[in-house]
Amino acid sequence: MCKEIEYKIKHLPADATYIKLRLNGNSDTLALVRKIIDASVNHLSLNAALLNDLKLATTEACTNVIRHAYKFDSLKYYDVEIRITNELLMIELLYCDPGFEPDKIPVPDLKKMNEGGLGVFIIKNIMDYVKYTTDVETGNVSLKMVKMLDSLPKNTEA
Amino acid sequence: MKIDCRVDNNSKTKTFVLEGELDVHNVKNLKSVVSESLENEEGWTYILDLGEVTYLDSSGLGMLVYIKKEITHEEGNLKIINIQSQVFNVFKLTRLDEFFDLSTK
Repeated sequence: MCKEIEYKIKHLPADATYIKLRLNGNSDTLALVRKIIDASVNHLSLNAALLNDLKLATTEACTNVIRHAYKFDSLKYYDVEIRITNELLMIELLYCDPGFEPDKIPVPDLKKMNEGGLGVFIIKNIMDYVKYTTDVETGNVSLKMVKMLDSLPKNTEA
Repeated sequence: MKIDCRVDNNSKTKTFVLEGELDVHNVKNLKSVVSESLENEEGWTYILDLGEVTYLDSSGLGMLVYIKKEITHEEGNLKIINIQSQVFNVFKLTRLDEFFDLSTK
C-alpha cells in the first residue's frame, strides 16, 4: 500500500486540483485552515466522519508546526499545499525546523492519561500515508499526508 | 470559545457550558476559567457540557486531561456531557474515553 501511494503521488495527474496556503505561526489561523479544507473537498461529497478526520489531521499537523517549530511566532511562515485527484487527497506542510528528527517523535502510551504527544498518533491513525522528509542542511521539513479516496463510501445525502 | 458557568452550591456542582471549537488557540481560556473556579473542598462535581463544541483535537484533549488531574487533586469529580459524535470519536481514537466519565449527545 505504501509503495503504491508513493507511486501515485509521484505521478499525480497534471489536472489535479492544487491549493496553496501560506500561514504564519499564529494559532488563530487554525479555524481558517479547517474552513478551507471543508470548502476544498466539498465537491467530493465525502461523508461527515471522513471530512472531520481530514480537518483533524490537518489541524494536528499545523498545530505541531505552530507550537513546536515556530513557538507561536507570527513572523514565521509555513505552507500548506492540498492536492486532490479522483483517487487521493494529499496535504503537504512545508516549514523550517532545524534539528527536527521525525524518528524521535515519542509514541504515546495509550494506557496512561496523556496530556501531550497525541497529535502525530492521531494523524497516523487517520491518514493512509504519512511521511516526514527533512533537509539537514537547510532545516526544511516536508510532511506529506495522504488519504486514498477511491474506496471510500460517499455521502449520499443531497 | 464561549464559556458559561453555573454554580449550584446545594448540590456542590459547577457546570461549564462550552460553545465553539477546542483547539490550541482556545485551550488556555478553558484552563483559566476552570482552574480559577476550583474549590479547595472535596466533594464538588464539575460538569463540562460540550453540547455546542463542534471540534476537539489533541490540544483540547490534553487540556481536559490537565483539568481532570487538577480536579482529582482537589478530590472532586469531572463529568463531560452532551458530546457530539465527531468529538466523541477523538476520545475513542486516543482511548481517552476510558479515563473520563463521558456521555454523548
